[in-house]
Amino acid sequence: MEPAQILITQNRAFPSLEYVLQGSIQDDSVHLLKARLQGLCDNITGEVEQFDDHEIVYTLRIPGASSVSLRVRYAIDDIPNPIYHLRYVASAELDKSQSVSVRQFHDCCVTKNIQIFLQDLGFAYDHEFFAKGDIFRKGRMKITVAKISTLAERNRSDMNPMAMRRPFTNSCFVEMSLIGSMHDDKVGDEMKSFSEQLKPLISLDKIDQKR
Amino acid sequence: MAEPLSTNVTIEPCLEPSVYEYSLDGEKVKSTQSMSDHFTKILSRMELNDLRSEDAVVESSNEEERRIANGAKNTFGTFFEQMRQANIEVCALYDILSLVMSRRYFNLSANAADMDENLNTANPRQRELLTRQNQDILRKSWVSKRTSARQAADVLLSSYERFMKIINTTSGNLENFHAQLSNLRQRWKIRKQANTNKYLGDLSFRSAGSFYPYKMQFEVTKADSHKRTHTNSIDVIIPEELQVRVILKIEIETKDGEVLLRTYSTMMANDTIMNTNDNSYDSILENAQRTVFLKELFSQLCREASDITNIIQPAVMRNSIQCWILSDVIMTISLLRASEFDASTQNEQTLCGANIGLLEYALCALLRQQFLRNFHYSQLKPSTLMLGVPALRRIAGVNAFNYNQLKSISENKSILQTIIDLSQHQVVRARILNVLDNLATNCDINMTVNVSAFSSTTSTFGRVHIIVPGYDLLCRWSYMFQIEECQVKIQYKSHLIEFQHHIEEVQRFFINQIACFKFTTACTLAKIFGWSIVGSTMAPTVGRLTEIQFSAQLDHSNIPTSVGIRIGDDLQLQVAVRKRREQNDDTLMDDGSNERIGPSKGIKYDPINLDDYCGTSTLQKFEMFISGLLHQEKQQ
Repeated sequence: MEPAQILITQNRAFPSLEYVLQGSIQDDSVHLLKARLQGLCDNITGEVEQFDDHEIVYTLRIPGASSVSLRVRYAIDDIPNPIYHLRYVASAELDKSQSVSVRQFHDCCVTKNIQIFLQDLGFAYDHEFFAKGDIFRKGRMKITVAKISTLAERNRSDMNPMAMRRPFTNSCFVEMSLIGSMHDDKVGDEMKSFSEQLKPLISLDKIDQKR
Repeated sequence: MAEPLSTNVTIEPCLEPSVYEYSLDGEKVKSTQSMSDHFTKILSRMELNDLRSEDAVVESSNEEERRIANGAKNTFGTFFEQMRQANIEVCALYDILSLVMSRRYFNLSANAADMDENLNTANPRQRELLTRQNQDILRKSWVSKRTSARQAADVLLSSYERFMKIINTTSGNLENFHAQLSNLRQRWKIRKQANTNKYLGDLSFRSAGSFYPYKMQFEVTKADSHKRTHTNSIDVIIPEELQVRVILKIEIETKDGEVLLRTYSTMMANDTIMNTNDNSYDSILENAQRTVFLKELFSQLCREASDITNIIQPAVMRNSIQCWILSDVIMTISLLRASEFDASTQNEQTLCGANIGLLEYALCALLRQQFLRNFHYSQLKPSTLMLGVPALRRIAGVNAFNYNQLKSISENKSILQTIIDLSQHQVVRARILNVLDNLATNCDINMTVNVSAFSSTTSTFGRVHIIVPGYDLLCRWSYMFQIEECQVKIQYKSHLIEFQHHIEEVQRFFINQIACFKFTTACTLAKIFGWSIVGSTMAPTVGRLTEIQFSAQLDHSNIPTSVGIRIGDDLQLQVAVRKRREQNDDTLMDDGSNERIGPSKGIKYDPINLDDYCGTSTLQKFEMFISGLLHQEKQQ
């Protein structure tokens, strides 16, 4: 059993599971997808929620065992005191019966000094990225359409951080996620049927990260 | 969440011919060839374009044909109309053609343009030959066109018969079941159930964010044949508990039974008269939805009543909520059935109610706010946060909370709490303004109350100005007052006084201020005429706030008479005079005893009736009096 998994089972009676479908869409047809999502999702206020996040991944390498990665994410526009979200996301379980990819999930909200704390624990900086885009909600589901970009040069504070972002590709990352507790077939069907609605624009699918 | 997410589009059978094509995911799947396409094809075969110059009828028919060819995606109705017109025109064309063929009345000639060309280029003999050839060609083409026109006529006739059949089966008018159903669908969400032949609709506010758990589905059916009329061929079946008409009644009363507000609302915007006879399906559904709204609102209020920890908790009884909004004012919100409600006894009282439209709008806004809260439980910052659980609850440590987040927790007021706060403020505000109004009308000075336009529903700002008419340059006092919910603050001369719940204190304060003002103006006026104040009681102590007594003794160096002035509880200026004694008698002791001017103790003053002097106000009379004294002295 992975060390993080032991941690999870000790702390919680029911481990959280994240059900995910992923896909990508070209920049020039993103507006079509957004318009479609706006029509299909719950938006009684009529405005789309936007986000601009920065995620840093720290990895702890244990000799003779698999390494553990923790993700720290915070919203850049959440000033003056942003909430830092610490996540552990396991690799997806390869279950043929599931139509969506399911992965172990553990999270908590923390304060800013988590980065120093993790480094003190022995976690090393792995990589980081910026995600900027829109969030849509449909019932329990959350759909994010994000532009993923990276810093052109790390540890240079003299430049405007916005100007230093460099997008990875000229397409957007689309993720449909749902956090549930147990293996639930209905959840998969629900997500799959919603992704069918977006079919000609984007094909959301479970992605095997190991491949 | 288990319901299917796809959207099914159902089409009534009689509307099916108007579907030109349908596509799935942007890909054209099927294009149904309609009658109009068929007809267009036949018309195009007739080559009507050649006959443009023949006459007006042909021309218009030509245009018609082009119109059909271009705008083939017509709806059923316009298509029908077009066919009818085309039919008429084709028949006319056919008649003309047959007349021409028999060569009795008409003489045919070739196209004018072609003729001219031929005439210019050839000699008379060739011309004759050409004309004959032309006539032969024309004749052949006309024969073929006549057969085509017959085919078109056949198509039109058969379609006409089909239409008549459809119209006859749907009771002969357009107001049939499907037409009305599609009308209804423009206002209500109605779905056709997949397997059964049922049409179901939802009355709840679930799509707006309501969590009200009751099922509020209605069913649309065809009306029974004996009930069916021209305007009403569908019937709606709504759940039994929504068939009643309910009324929300709001009352605000004092302990003594004085009604401050009594109003009732049926959520019908402006009309309070309920039309119970109107049984059309539309009004039934609207009424049912109103009932849903009021029930949901009331159940929400009931739930919130238990959460409020006011001084006295609101009490929920059967169908009413009672809560004390001030120490002597009670508010009752009750939900009545139409049968329990007697409009006739309420009529004279409802006049003292609020603006119904405004009230209903406010109630809608409050419930909507609640719905929004249901939906927008938390902002997702960062985006990976779990849905549904506010981040605040999951944050680690005290440091994590920022000021704005803490503030947003305390700002979330329930509907009932908001209603209580608003009504508290309204009652306090009305009472304060009433007190000021009464004072302004009952005192003989000029008191102006300005309420600021920037006042909101829970805070009112304003100013009070006090002047004596005609003497406004002499003395002008102004106060700023601020009513925050049920707290009253008054600012004057850099003092800030707060009053809580006690309207009487505010009244006392202003009476005091008016007395003080009158006294000050009288003294100031006397000073201008050369009088000096030798002794006065100006500031009343707090303990004796209830007793108002301002008095002063005025002396003038040239006049051997002392004047005493006094203002008491009645706010009337009293003036008295006495002869001044010798210099040695006028001791401090005397002055002290002189402060209280009265017949029983101290030195005897002779009261002066100011009404003997002419003037429009008391102050003017007082001015006449003291100037009279000076005048007398000068004459002596």
